[in-house]
Amino acid sequence: MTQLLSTKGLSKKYGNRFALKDADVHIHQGDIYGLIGRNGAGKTTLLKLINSQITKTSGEIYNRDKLMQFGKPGIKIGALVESPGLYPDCSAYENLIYKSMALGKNKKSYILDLLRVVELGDTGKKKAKQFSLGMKQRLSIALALVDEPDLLMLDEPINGMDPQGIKDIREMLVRINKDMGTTILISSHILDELSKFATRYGIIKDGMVMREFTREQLNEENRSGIEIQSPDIEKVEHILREEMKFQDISRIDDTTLMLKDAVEQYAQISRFLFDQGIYVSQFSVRHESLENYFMSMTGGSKL
Amino acid sequence: MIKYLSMDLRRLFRTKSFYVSMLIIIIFLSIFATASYYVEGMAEEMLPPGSHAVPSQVLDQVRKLITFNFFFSFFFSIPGMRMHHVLLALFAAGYLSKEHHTGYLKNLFCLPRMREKWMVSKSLTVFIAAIVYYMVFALACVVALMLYGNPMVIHLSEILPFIAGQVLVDMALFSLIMVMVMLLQSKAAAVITALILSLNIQSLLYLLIDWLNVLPFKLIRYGMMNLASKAQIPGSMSSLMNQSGMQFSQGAPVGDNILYLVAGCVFALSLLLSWFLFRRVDYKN
Repeated sequence: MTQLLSTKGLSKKYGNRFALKDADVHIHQGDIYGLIGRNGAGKTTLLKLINSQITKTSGEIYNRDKLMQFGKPGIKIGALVESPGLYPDCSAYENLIYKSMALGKNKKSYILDLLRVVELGDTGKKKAKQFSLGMKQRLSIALALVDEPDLLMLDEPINGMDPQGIKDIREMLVRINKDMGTTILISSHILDELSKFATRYGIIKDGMVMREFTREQLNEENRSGIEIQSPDIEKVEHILREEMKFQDISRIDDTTLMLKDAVEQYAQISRFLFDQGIYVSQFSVRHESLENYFMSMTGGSKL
Repeated sequence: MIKYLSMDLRRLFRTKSFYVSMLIIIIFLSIFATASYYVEGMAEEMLPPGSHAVPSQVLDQVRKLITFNFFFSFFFSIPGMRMHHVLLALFAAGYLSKEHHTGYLKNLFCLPRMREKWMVSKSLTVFIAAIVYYMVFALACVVALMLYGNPMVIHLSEILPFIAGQVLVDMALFSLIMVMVMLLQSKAAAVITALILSLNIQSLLYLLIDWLNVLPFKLIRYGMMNLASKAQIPGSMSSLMNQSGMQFSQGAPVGDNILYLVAGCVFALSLLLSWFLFRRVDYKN
């Protein structure tokens, strides 16, 4: 998959404090890239740097392996950073037509299509200031899409929204990604939601990008499993491997092991160990979430 | 660039404050025009001592003095009353800071050369706004002349250089407001700057500098707003009053050239500073 945008050693310093330090991020064409981090971790700073909203202290940004100049992105980027930026006294259609005029894309049919994509086609002359938060966010996303961007950057687009609004946005972003082929970079606190549709993730902590991984890697590392604790853990492992033919077993500590991909056989394993006369002090199923994974990566920091 | 400008112009003519500022000046003009029609007070000044009644021919003679130039320059003639500049500066403060204030602009920065386009387009738009504003006011003056039956005499050779000077002052004010918008990215800062500068409160600072004798010349003499308020056209209220021995304007009138020079320099330097700040200052909103 071709790399659409990447950063190398990107840093931003405010006074003596690094808001972002040596960030290496790799966004591939077609990704929905979820940027995960606590408040103040540096997510918005990274987005602002890509957006040419702030100047970098050091490092580079590349678009398709070409060095990106400040204010000259080289690829089409649509951005929604922090609050939705709208003309409050204008309707959704007017907001879109103004931006399309500024871009020289005065195609009314495209604007009407965009309004339908973000489900604001029936708002008529209603002014943006009268919209709900969800509608404003959807309109802002439509504004970011006017230029038919290669990369759509969204900073916390589902903050403060109700569950239905969150679901609407998620479904809309998946549609935009699939139907329009737009690569999406999205930062969010709501990790469970992000885990439902992001295809690649970046974890950011204290201004540093801790790790990047794909959805497949996440699934691989976070497969559900059975955690078994026993004073006779060596014998438990031997039985599981030799007699029950399980291979994906990992030791957590001297008395505990994790058996992956065997949740469906929970009852049989429990019964088999009991029949073998092995004392098991704990036997539980673990479902790892993105949030748990994030916490383990960041040393227990909660969002 | 043209596309961005066309969008800005379309937005301009949909901005309520633009029409409100024109409406305010027209209301003031209407009040002034009506008051000036009843010119007995002014005519009494022209009567010989001891006379009480104002003959109708004297009134007619006085009314002949109320020309287009008289109406047009009224708000520039009275010291401390720079209505046009105040209204235009307040409009520009709102207009220039709106996209910063609403956060609209920040989501445009990723578009190629957006800063350049924004600055050039906004400068041209507020320039066009100022021209439209003066044209509407001139039209209102013509209507006032027609309604009150005053002589319809318009000397473009006198009025155009005057307008050019005032528009240049407005442009300098706009670009100073732009500096504040770039620096502080706040509507409040833009509005306060507009009020301070257009009401010429900065002249207090000039006075202080002059009292301290820091400079080899009197700074207050070259203050842009002071120069703008001293600019005169024949037939204006201040020139008529000066003719009849009343000192109506602050100090002697100055040549247009100095006004052009000072306003032009302020405009160019503050535009340059705005550009520098726009490129250098992090956009926090």
